[in-house]
Amino acid sequence: MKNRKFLDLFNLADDKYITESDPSRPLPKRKRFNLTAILASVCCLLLILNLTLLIPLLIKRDGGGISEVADSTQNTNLNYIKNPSSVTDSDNKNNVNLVGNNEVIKVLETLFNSPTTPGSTPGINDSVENESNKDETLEEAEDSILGDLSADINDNQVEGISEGDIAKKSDKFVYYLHNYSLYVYSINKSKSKLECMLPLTGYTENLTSYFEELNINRDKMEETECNWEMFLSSDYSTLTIIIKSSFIPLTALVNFDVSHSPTVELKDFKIISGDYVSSRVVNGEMLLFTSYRIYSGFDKENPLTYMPFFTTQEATYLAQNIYFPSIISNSDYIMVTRLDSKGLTVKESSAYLSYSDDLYVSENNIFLTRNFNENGPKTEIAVIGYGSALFQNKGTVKINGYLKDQYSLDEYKGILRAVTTSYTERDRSSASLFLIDLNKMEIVSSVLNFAPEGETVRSVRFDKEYAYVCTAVLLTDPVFFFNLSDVNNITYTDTGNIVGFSSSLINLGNGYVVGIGVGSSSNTLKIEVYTEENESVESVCAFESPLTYYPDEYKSYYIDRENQLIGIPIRVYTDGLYSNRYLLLKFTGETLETVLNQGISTDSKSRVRGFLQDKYYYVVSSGGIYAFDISESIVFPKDSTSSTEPEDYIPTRDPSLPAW
Amino acid sequence: MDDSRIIELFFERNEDALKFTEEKYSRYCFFVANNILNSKEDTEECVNDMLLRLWNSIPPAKPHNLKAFLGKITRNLALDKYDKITAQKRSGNKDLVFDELSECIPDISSEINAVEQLSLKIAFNKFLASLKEEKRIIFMQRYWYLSSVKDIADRHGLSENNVKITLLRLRAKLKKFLEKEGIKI
Repeated sequence: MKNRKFLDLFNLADDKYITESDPSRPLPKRKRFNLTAILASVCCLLLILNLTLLIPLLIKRDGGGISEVADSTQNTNLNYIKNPSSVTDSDNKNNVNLVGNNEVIKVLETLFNSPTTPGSTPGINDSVENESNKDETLEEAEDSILGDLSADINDNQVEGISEGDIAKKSDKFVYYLHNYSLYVYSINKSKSKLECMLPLTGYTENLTSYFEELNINRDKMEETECNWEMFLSSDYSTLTIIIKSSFIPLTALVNFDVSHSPTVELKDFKIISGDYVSSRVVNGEMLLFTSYRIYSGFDKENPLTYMPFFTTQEATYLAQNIYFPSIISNSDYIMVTRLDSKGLTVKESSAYLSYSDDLYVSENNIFLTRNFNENGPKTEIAVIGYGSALFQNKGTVKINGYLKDQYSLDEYKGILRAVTTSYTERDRSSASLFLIDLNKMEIVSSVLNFAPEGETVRSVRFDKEYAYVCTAVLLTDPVFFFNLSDVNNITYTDTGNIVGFSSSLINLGNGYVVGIGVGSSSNTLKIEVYTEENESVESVCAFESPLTYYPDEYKSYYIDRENQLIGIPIRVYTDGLYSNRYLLLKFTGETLETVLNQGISTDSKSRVRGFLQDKYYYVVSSGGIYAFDISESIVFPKDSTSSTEPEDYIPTRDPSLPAW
Repeated sequence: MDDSRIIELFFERNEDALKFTEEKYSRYCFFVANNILNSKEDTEECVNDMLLRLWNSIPPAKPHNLKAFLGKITRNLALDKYDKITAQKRSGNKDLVFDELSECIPDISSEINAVEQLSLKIAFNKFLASLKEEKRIIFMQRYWYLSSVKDIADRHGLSENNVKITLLRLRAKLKKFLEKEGIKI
């Protein structure tokens, strides 16, 4: 109490002192900072000069509005790095260069060896440099396809396209990333347990060294939560972990041989510039998206401080192609790197300046977006075909408003559909739908400002020829249902205002869509099922839980369309205490029934994953693995109020965590 | 969008106000709350609660400095939440701050009334005004923002030891100053 009152004393401080001491503000001027300011100004000027003087010379304009700089870097300050026109393994051998080669190799070797310190990394094979061993594992990998869909626990947006996640599973093991470590749990009903824990921190430490060796100076970046992700190959033999450094804009891809799980052996690695953003695996090829920001203090003599790059064990390469929009709206690159499945060979790499907002990957195309202001918020979408051997720039299109997330975009039969929060003539928010012909890159149809003024888009879900859109002001929403089967005659209807709103709309199959969001208050969880009937959208049933928080992370939701199951980690406030729980609901066609509502241990609800296997429901979190026999619940739903622990509740968890 | 327009939107009961506030200040509020709670999840909840509290506060309140207003709401919510959490366990940066404060400043004997509160506010701000800018910033960053000593040292280009000594002296100076002003806390 005493101490709280002293902290409250500081609440009496004048606003000016609070604002003055905001840590994100620049420090007061001191002599040594004046010099820094001058240097920063000079660097800024250099950046502006580079952008204004060099770009016009380098840009080759195309019809779509994206301009390309290709093979021109020799004419600029970048000429001491050769820019390969096409990068394959054989090309790499011919283009070995250039940047402090010995130093880089030295650091890479350190990186390569880092997790093999005896005793510190159980499960790692110390002899990764043994050529015979390496060849063998690579040969084994030839038959495998990276990113098998059966390994996915998360619900992917596009059928057939796997998204990276913190958890992947084989038939016998579940792999889980937590606290800079890989956890391997066996999946064996009530005997499920932690088999192996592999610390991976050595990689981030060595990424930092690597960054320093490249002579890229930058202030320490704010530490971010570990958001590493991974993929598992179709034969469950190769686990590819995408590791992001906390402090520096570098991403490492590390392949592990897990064919003898729970033993895990290091196979190969690759370093890509930029912070990890997202990834997809399509037909065994990985598309990796990283972001890379240019700062005003970049080193003109060192292209690696202002050009995106990737590195192999032999050399470091700039991105093959760099694209600029006609007007640069920010200094963030999004780097798109395509890698093959048999290791980590970079097949292609392109960077897009300013396209740093939402991204969506369809079966044929990559869609990168950027927001800008031109008489109100606008979004420009760059379309990149990836079906052929090389990325194909198809052009750009501009639409009014801004997107909520990747689910606001959808490609279907050559038409891109997009839903934005747009603004009316009175500068009030609303929502608009656009249909874009991808052959012509033209808007062919739209429904402008269909939502009541003041509302914004909260969630979107496209389902073939239909679209569901939830808009809301604060705590009331309509859900709109669009019929997009006739491009020239879009029809729509809505539920009318209902309490709460859905922050995620997910197709549940059989014509149903489930909305996950809030109910009558911002801390009430509401899960509601909708269906379209006679050209009208109806609420079928809803589940509500007061004083309950849920994660925004869509990958933490378990959606089982076959068994009509919806799983979600929650945090419940009761009797003055917060507790983490896992909620599993079954949709019967008329009601949502509770199958599980169990206490779990986790340090973050967004990092909990659940999945069904052999009539057992498994929950994996930072607290361990839990196995629940739900065979009876699936066939004969339990009493919805039941929340007792079943007999086979598995308390397998990290012993370093506090008690539940 | 400037703050005065955002405040106007609150007065118009236009919920875009929340959206613009979130866009502009959520990072700042996240920083304030996270320094206290040291948990992304609790911090997110705290920032969400802050928006609701803000919606209910403006009107009638019409803050001159929206950022500081938000910071105060967020900080108080985070401190409340922290107190609830620490009913179960003690952790995080705030415990260390408590330890530091208890070293130098005497206990509060009783609840203070509005006049005493005003006197305290005037004296406290007088004390802050008397400090050199850099020291004041260090002091506020430690005890208002609850930044760690290491972060402050990194930010100011000082050693951790240097920051600790500065804080120790400032705490003693505050105690002496308040006593001199006749304020017994």
